[in-house]
Amino acid sequence: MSSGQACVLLGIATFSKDGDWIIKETPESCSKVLKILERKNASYRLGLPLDPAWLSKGWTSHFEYFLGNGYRMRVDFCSRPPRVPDISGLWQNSIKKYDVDIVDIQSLIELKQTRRVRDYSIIGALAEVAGFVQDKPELSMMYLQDYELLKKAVKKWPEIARKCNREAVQTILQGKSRKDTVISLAVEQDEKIQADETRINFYREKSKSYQRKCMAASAVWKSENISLSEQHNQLLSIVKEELV
Amino acid sequence: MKRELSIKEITANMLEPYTIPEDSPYLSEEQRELSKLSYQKRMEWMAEWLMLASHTDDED
Repeated sequence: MSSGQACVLLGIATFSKDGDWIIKETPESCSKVLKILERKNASYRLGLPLDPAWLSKGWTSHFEYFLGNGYRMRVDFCSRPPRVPDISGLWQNSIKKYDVDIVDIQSLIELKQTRRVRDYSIIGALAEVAGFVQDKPELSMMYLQDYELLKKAVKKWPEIARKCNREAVQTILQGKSRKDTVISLAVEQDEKIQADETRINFYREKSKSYQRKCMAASAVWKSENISLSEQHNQLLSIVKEELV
Repeated sequence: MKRELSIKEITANMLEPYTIPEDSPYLSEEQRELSKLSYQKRMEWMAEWLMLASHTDDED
């Protein structure tokens, strides 16, 4: 379990509507997920078929199903989350609770460096708790997002600050103005936002014609109540033709 | 000398009840309540919000 719902379980977000899951890129794993989703009458949303060949290239699969009260549940799957290069380390560091593996805090911080501005508050919160509550100052130093707390961290852990190559930390150490540090934090955040935007645009551009065919197929699935396994087979055919 | 905790240990600690500083710029009273709960209670909290969201969607 990762992203928003992991944040809820870690105590720093009160709510998350979507389920984001990282799975192992094996046929068994994909097949197990598809079976569970089929039992829930799930449908594919726009995305790639849940298959190791595509997961291993960084693509993601998206589904939705409805609860008895009509609430739409959305669940997304990937095997290689963005900005987390060490996948085996990701699994090793995860914490198993009631049969669910929960992503570790460092990977969660990396994952959350998205194009959405609101995710940077989550990163700041994770960094604050990691350093000031759980005594892992390196994470505070690298990921705090605001001036006041970063200054407090630099004052509390000067040795770690000196070793830190983050520009905002160095501006505080050098006694530069608050404005300089705030600019440095803002530029750093914007660079991460741009990097994620570039990543998404790459996938979007690459899959334009695939997406068009999927949307046409999806309209038929809805009107003819096509099963998830059939949807999956159709997507595998489309992706083979449209995405090389 | 105090042993440095690993990322895995930090994560495990955060899945247990802990206290968020009163003056946190990122977190509010709701997260302070949530962080004091056990893992089981946090799961129940999440489910409760999902139920509430379903009613909100009905009203929209």
